[in-house]
Amino acid sequence: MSKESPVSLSFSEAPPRVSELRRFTRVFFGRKLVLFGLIIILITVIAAVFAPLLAPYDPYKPDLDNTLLSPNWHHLLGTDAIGRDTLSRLIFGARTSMLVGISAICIGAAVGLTLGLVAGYFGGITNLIIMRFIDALMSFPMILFALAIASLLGEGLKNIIIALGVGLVPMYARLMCGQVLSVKENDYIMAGRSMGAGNGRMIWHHILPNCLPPLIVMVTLMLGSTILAEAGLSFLGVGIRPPGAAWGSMINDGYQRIRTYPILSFAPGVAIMLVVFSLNMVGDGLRDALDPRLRGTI
Amino acid sequence: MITYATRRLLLAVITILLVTLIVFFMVRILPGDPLLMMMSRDQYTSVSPEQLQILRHQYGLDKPVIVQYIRWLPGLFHGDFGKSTSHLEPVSTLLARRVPVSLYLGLVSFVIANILGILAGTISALRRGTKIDMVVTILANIGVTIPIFWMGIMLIYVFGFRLGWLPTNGYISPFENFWLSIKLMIMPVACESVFTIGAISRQTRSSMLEVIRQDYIRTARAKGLRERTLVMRHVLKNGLITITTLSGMQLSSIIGGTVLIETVFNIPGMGRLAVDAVRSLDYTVIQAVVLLIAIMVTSINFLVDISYGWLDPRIRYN
Repeated sequence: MSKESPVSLSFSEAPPRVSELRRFTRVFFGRKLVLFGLIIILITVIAAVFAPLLAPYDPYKPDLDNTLLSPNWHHLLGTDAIGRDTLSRLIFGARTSMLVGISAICIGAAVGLTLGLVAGYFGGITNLIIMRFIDALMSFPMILFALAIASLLGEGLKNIIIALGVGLVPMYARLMCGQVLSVKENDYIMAGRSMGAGNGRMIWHHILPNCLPPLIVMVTLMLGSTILAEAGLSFLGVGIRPPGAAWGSMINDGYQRIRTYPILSFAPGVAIMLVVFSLNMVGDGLRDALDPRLRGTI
Repeated sequence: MITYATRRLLLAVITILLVTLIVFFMVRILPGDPLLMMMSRDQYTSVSPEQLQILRHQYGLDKPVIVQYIRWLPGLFHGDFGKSTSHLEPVSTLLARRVPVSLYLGLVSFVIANILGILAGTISALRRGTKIDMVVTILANIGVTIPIFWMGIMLIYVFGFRLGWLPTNGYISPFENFWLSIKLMIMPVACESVFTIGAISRQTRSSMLEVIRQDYIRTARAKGLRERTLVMRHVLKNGLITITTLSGMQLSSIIGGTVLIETVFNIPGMGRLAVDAVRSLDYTVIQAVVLLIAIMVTSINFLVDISYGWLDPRIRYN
């Protein structure tokens, strides 16, 4: 079927060794989509950090003389039902998305990685209990779980962050546990132990430094899906309180007027897609560039 | 195989018990009075503290939490989820009406997503580096990126309002009006399956590429096996193992997606039920839906595990 059979690849002699950094830059920056992603992420981060400086209008203040304007020179993306500038709200929405995404990941990673570390290191009954618990947590679809927690905790940015963070815990715990189990097999662990290193020393000096690097990529890979989940929650109206700007709630606002002003929903959706797509591309690029199985090759 | 299956079943039962534990304690550990679960917020604020105390005793809420849990659990097996405060009927009757709708949509989406995903991924892997591969890869990446609720709204705008080809929202059982039901389902199913199509085709592509590099494929090719037999019998069958795990996980994301899709398309399923319950602070319903979905997902994972052991005998002895 395929003309050049991929099998022939494995026949070629061992490729010449290249330095780690050179391989990384070549693989990582060699992809156009990764570059595209990096640029979009950079723009989003700048927009999020400098939102008050960049936004042409106040994103919260209604302007009843200029409601539902189509895109024009004064309002590049038009205005919504109470006259707020869509572009300004998009810029402030970037802030919400980034803040929620990054904070939720920090919480999820802190709790999840610790649980996974403990489960993997101590093994036995500890592992059994923690991992069963994690399995149970994993059977809740993330958005539903976050929805339930957010509904119990009440509205607000902080609670959304907690809800999404908890939703991320099982994934991280699993990854970490697997990683610890494989690192534990190494001879240097046995050596450390036979020299009388205690649990604390073993974990801090031997296990953790060897477990974390491959996981860092996985941790960042989740940012895209966390932002998607946040958008979903704020679309459902659980999340940032009005008049706060979040992309998901902007889509919902626009949905009320989809027939006549589709741009109100269209713009924030494109923003979400661009950011999540970029994060995924950069994540994939990082993963491939750092893949230990491909180490030493191009 | 039987030992393997029994062990897996045991693990699944433990997981389900833990799930009930988590759901039960989630409502009680977090701030808020579980009495709120029994009555609406208005009722709650209007009764006197003495009355609350009596109610607390009636519902056994003054007992230790463990005792409460042990009393609550057996009810679940009889389908007793309590009474909804916003719908004024038992949660079990509500669920009986809502769950089939979601299951129907979810399963159709799941089947379609698997067929399309595996097909696209296989084609992409076999034609690696060609234009088709590039198109499939980009589409798959868009599939895992697009916010499904936004896609729903855009589809409604284009096919519902602009072109007028499809009805924009609602649900009707296929037994009542088959054609209308199909028409109503097209957009929701497209949205529910899009993420899974993307995820599965990506996974299929990479695991097929992995398999293609194996020695036994080279051997099969060397002995002059026809390309079609090679792909069907060797490449796909071995690649399927990783795909099965993923597609089991995807079912959970499809079920999670119903929350969004049923809201967009105004479909009376359990996802919509959960969202409405969150809005009206109907904790009994939230608890029941979350619990039910988690149990479904666990059962599905159990089935996936079993088929995994059946597809790849090495797993069983691990």
